[in-house]
Order: sequence, then structure tokens, then C-alpha cells
Amino acid sequence: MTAVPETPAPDAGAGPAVHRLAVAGRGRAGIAHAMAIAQHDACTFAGAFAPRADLRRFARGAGFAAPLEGSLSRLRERAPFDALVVCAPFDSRAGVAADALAAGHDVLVDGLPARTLEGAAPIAALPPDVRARLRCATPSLFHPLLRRGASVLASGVLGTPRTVRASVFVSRVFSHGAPPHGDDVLDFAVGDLLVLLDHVLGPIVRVSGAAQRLYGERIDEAHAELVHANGVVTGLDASWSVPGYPRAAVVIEVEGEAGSLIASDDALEVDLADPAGGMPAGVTRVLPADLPDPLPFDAGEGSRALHAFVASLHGAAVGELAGDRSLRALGVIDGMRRAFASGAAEECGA
Amino acid sequence: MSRPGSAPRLLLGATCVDLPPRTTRDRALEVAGRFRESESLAVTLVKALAAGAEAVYAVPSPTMRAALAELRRAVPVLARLPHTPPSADLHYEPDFAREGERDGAGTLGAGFGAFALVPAMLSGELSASVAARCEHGARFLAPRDRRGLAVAAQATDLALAAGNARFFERMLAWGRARFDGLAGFETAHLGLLVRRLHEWGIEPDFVIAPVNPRGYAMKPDAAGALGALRRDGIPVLANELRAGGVVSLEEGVRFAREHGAHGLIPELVDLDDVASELRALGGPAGEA
Repeated sequence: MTAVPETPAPDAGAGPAVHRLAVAGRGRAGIAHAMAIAQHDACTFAGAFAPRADLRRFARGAGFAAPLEGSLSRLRERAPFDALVVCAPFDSRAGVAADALAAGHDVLVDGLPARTLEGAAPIAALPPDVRARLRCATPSLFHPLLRRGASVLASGVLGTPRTVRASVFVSRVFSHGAPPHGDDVLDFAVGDLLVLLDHVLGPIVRVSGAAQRLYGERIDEAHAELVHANGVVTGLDASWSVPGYPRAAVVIEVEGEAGSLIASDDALEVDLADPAGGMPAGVTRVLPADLPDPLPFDAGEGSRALHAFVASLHGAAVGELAGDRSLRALGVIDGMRRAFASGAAEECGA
Repeated sequence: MSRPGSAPRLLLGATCVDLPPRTTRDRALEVAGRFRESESLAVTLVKALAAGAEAVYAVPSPTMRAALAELRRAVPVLARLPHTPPSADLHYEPDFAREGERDGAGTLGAGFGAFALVPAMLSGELSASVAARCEHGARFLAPRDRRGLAVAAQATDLALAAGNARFFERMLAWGRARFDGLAGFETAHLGLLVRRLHEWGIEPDFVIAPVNPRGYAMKPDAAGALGALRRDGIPVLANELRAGGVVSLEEGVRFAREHGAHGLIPELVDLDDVASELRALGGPAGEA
């Protein structure tokens, strides 16, 4: 079933020129990006830096021959690069991104640039024309089904949204032997959903709600009402303490005047009162295998974003990668924390 | 280096007991619930073997060990290792990079096979840490149940992307010795892996990769993966036959066989009646 309108392939616009990409942070995401860069036709893996020597040793042992250094300045000396993919830990991510932007590089940040707006201050302090080169990628923005759902919403076939619900559930906090360090469900999963909501329904300006702490001091569950700038209200539920979700389940449900939509990483269902946008009346259901997958090498959930980033270096539209969206999501997370503490509605600002 | 003809033709895939399968969430939860009790899983394994499966493709996890322990007979397991649980995403560094559970040279337990890893241990090459992780997981598998080692796609594809030919040579030598049988690689990138293995002159006993009529998860694309299936020398065991539940098992199996798959790995999530559906696939005797 592929009657749902097509979205442009993530690599649309990629040209023949080759860019040199470096990676900051040799953690899980950094390794995945190095893999994808190394196998991408339109870029080369210039090198990487990570302060931790054991991670540099690991990357060398994996077989990467490009320079692996302990600092950004040292990497610049040894391996000139055009653009930097930043996968550093939260504590240093914004600083590294800001340094690279100030040095004139295009920058892709994997995930949100910080835990809080305050943490992203090094980026916010940059002149607007420098900050404009910032790109940020969260997984849900590039999931094929959620992307297709976003394009259906953007096409307007549902009419004005009346009810919007969004959720993210994942089984993590109680995972044996895998206690998270410092993060809570807002950092781990909600940020991704907020960036997606910003993309499909516009900026969020006000938030209220409540949080639950089940396993200690950290927030394990969140229930919130998000008010978008266009007046649409989204009800949000999030938990990382629900059994049965080895992978994060991101779901957006929209009920409009002319139909409804349920978009998730599992399936996309569009139910229309009348034929519209190339879809028939009734339910249209799309599964992952129904959608084209243009990635020749897939190193994980960041690979689609990397493809889009490389395409943007070749002149394709920035689209979902716009960095300001992630900064706004940080403002919403800050607002949620304030709202959970005060019990009142809080304004969000980035 | 290879042992042609020794790769199995039909395996029951049971990795979905420990790893997220490519299917709908409802189906995944349904199957997980069905096999929550080790007795249920044990009975299913026995039925699968009786119906023609030559081995079970599984993560040798505590869950699988509990099921195997219910049985008084050997159940040949092609072990998918190292185990890469989804919850590992809470760690900043990759599993293979973490120290602390490192078993070390003295406990790699492959006799002469461990010698293949000595250079890797000295240089920090990936195969040393991956083999140590495999060893860590192998303790959940009794010697009688070992049929072979399938290096998990996360490790295979990392070495593949980095162009690390030695990893493949060393893991084959160690895996064959340690698991008393076959050794091969699971991959998400069949086309590239087979091309590189031919260039490097490395012949694993098998490669496991997605094959289905929709081209779902076939890399670099459907045509490239099918081209790899047609090349001689490396038997391909096809999984993801139902393209995430979009096509029937019969359709997926027919497609894989028509395009040259050496063997089939239908997963538990692909099967409603394990015994009858595996029997219908013909098993080894029914192969053309």
C-alpha cells in the first residue's frame, strides 16, 4: 500500500562533489557515523577526535585508518575537514559544536545539542549567520514512516487538527546492568519527540503537566499538555519504565476535520472521510517495507540524517535538520521541568 | 578455507526472543508473551527440529539457556554473538569497546584457535574484543548444543565499513575452533560484504542476510543483494523472509530459493504453527 504522498528521498540533491567529514566523539553514535561516512559516495572520513584514549584505541582497532586525535585543534592540524558531525557527550556537545561553527565548519549535531538551554549557551552566543550553519538530527525526524506521516499532515488532507496526542514509550530504566548516567526520560526520549512535534505542528510556546519518579530522583514518566504557536494543543505521554518496548515507540495521533492519522515507527494509518491527496477514502495502512529505502549503507538510526546532511552540503534543502528546532526543543524541556515543579503552565522560549 | 555444503539449509530463527524483530509491535509482543515461559520455548525448539530444522539460530542468552535446560537432548544452536541488547544504548560507548568484562587471552577457550587472536590482542584489533564478548556469551551454551558461530551484524558491519579484513580471518579461525563447527557472519549489507570477502579471498561457512521479495532491508539495494546471492563460494542463509510481515512466508521462501539462497531462517515471529510450517518448507530432504 503506497498511495500516501511521496516524501523526497533523504539524499535527494546529492551531487558528485566529495566533502571531507570528521566526527567528534567516538562513542556509539560516533562509530556509527564514521561507518556511514566511510561508505558514502559523496564524502570521505577525514578523521575523528575523542578525549578518551580507550575509545580512540577501539576505533583504531576496528580498522579506521584516518587520524584519531584527542582534541579538535589537533585533529584540525592533522586532518583538514569541511564539516563536523558532533556526537560528543551532552556535557561537551554544545561547546564542540560552537567551536567548529566559529571555525567556519558546517556542523551536524547528533541528537539535541545539550540537556538544557543553558547548556547550549555556547551555540546561542554565536552570531546568527554562524549559528545558521548548525544542523541537528534526532531519530524520529528521519524515520521513514514518521517522515511520511509528517508529509501527510503538511499536505492538509486531514483539515484543521482537533485532537493531537503524542507518546514515547521505551523499556530502559530498569534494564539489568544498564543504569543510565544522569539522564531521565526527558533527555533520553522526550527530546526526540519534541523535535518531531515542532517539525509537524510548529513551535511549542506553553507547557503544563506532571512527572512521576518511580525508581529514584529522576523523572521516569511525564504527562504534559503542549500548546503550539498556532493554537493546536498536544497531549504528551512519555515513559521509559514500560515493559515490552525494547525499541522506543514514538506515536503521533492527529484527529482532524477531514480524517485522522496515526504515525509511528511501527506503521502509518490514515483514515480519510473522502479521497484526498492521492489517498482513497477509508483507512490506508503503510508498513516499513512499503516505503523506499534509499540508503545503500545503514549504520543505524543516524544514517538517514547523515545522508540528508551530506545532501545539504551539496545544496539540498536543510529541511528537518534546521538547528533552531533543536534549541526550541531544549526550551520546551526546560519549560516542562519548571511546570512539573510549579504545577502551573510555563512559557517556553529558546 | 571454506567447507562447502556444510552450512545448514533450514534453521529456526529464535533471535526475536532476545532482540527486537522486524515486525509489527503487536506481533512482537504476542510472540514475546508466547515464549515467556521456558517450557513453551523448549517445546517449540523440539518441534522445529522434528519438522526438519537442522539448528536453531539464537542468542545464547539466559532465556535460551533456560529453555535448553528443560530438554534432555542436544539442540544444535547456531549462536548469534556477541549479544547486542537494545538497552546497551544507555551506554555512551559501544559494547565491544567497554572494558571490565574482558575475558582475556587465557579464557578464550579455543585451544589452537585462540592463537589466531594473539596478534589481535597485542594490537588491540577488533576481533580480540569481539571474541572476548562471544566467549562471554558462549558460557550460556552447553558444548553438546554448539553448531557454530554467527558473528552479529553489529560487529560484522563495523569491520566491513572500516575495511578490516583481518577481523574476518581471525573470527573465522577462532569461531570454528571455539564452537566446534561452522563460523560465519550476519550482516545488514550483503552486497558489500560478499564483494569484500571475494576481494580478500575469505570464505566463511555462511553469511546471514535479509532476502525478501520487497527488497526490505536488502543492501545496498535489492539488485545488489541479489547479485551477491548469485555469486559462488559463500552460502547465504536468508532471513527477514516476510519483509516485516508484509508478504507471506511461502512467498518469501519461494523468492529466496529462486534467487539462490543456500538456506532459510524463518523467525518465530514469521511462524504461527512452527511444526507444520517448517515441515511445509521441506527441510533439508526437500531441497532442490
